[in-house]
Amino acid sequence: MRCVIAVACLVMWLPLWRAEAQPKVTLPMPKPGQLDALVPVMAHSARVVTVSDTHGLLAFGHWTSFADGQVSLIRLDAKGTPAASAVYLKLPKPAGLLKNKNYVTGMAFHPKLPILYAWQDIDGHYTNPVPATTPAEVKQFDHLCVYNLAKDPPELMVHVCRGDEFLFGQQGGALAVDPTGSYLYVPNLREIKNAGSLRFARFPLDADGLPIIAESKDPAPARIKKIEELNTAEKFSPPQITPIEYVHLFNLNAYGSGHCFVPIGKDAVIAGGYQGLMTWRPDDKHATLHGLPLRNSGHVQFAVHPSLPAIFATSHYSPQNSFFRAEHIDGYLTLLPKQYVIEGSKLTGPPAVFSKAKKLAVGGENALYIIDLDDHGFPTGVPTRVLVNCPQVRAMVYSERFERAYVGVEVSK
Amino acid sequence: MNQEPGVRSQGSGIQAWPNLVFAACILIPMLASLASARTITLTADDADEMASISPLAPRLSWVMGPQPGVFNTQPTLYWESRIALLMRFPITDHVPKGQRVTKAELTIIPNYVAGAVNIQVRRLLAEWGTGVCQQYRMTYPKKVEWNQPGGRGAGTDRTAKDTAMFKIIKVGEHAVDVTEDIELWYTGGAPNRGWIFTHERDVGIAYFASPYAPQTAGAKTWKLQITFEPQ
Repeated sequence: MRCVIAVACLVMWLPLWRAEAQPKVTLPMPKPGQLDALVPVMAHSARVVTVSDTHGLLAFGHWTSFADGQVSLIRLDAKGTPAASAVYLKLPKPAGLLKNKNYVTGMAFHPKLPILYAWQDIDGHYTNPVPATTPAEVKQFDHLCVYNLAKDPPELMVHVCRGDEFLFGQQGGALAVDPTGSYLYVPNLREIKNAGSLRFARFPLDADGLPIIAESKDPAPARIKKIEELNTAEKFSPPQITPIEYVHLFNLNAYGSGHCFVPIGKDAVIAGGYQGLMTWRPDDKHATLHGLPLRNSGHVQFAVHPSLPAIFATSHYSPQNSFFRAEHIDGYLTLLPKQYVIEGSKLTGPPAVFSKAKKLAVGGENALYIIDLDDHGFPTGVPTRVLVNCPQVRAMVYSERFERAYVGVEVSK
Repeated sequence: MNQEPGVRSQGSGIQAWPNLVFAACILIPMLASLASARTITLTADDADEMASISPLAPRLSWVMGPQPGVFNTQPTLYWESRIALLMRFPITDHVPKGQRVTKAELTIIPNYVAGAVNIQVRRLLAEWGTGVCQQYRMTYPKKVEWNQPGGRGAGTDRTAKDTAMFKIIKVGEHAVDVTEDIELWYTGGAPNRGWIFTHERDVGIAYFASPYAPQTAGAKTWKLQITFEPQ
């Protein structure tokens, strides 16, 4: 009798409990399916990928378990079909760190020039304060590598960003070049006097795509030599760095600062940080830095719709079943982010927007989830679950030119 | 048959009374509540639109403190006179159809006060949305300016008279009656465009847990209690 009463009580109070629940949207259970615009590319242990529509190239960044190189370059033909073979790049590291493994956390192509920027890190244990057992050679490890892709094989033009100002041992850290090719956004900086206070920054790029800290009319070889001298002296520091705000926006975490960058024009960038989304407008004194948190803190990666004010983000340390839709206008974050739950999913990677097909793809465990978008960029309908051979999809990128998304998958055994 | 001491008899008329009393105590009030008034408590977590606008950053939707430059929506709203808070609750999603709103109360909890802060509560009349800021009430799909910057146009951007005013001179709970607004929004007597909260005078500052702070419990401190009953 008492059990019956208790159940009756619960049933009666259920509507009130629901009224106080968090506002979020649960999408219908996904149905299995396929998507022709999804192109699996064999890329072992791929953590990041970027595409150049200008140069018809894919670049995958690999985790430490891949021995052939930290970066693989794959050509796309006129229809966007990937070549069967790749060119592998082994990124430089100091001789004293030969036993340590380096890996890539972020890459970006120059929008006009045949240049690839890669941000690498070294396996290490970073804490605040920095452990006394840290090998001294870590200070000579250069995080930013700039490759000239016009050369065959690609030529390492310069490698920079070393010393106490840069974090190491991070599992995240993106790169991005603004659409005009004027600035390179770089992650994983810190305050010199506070190893727990993170920042990110940007370098101006010169006409040759080289990161610079001062204007110079010298020929390229002389400029590169000057950059290398400054770098050796640990004085090659980005001239524009985010303001100090380590309490709420830039606290220490496993993925560094600048988990993801999408420049909005030349003057603003939307970034992913531990607590959610951020915008940085280096030359705007009124709204220089702004943070809009998401419900889940962690590794925040996102995609920005090219024509609608929508941002789609995932945010987690471990696989979660939801993603977020936020909004921006001209790089100003606005209104409340909304949470969307895909029942039964375990999401692991950054979203990709199929803008022309009005679809969103989000990486998960051995699957991609495809969600239809309405005319305003809101998720609608029943998601489709597409199986892919990758335990955790993290490397996925959409090409506007080819209207395809490329996703890194494991080699079939 | 004699019953041993301490052994309870199932179905015994007298000894079944406790069960019946227990059931009656729970069921009668609940059945009564279904037929009469109910009260629900919404928090800022239930709001579906929110912004915090100021001339300090004329294009930003989230100005949360008096110092221009760096803003974060959590954990604190450093609420000084140049900041206006906009908040909308989807009332009809929470109050079932066929009800009559009998009472609605809005509660906020300042945790620091300097000076005497009077916060006006008014209904917004103008539609606002994506890109709302000091200059514009929306910037998508096209830019539309407020009648007065910051949504302060009386009778155009917002109502000419206050719905209520929070008179804040100390920390702790402050509540105001907003029954009329909730009833208007619930019945469709006025479109629900939410409230705009502004300082009455250019003095004082009060700190609040941010109404949008998804990684803290701050939003729970902003409460809207609505009591309603069947018509």
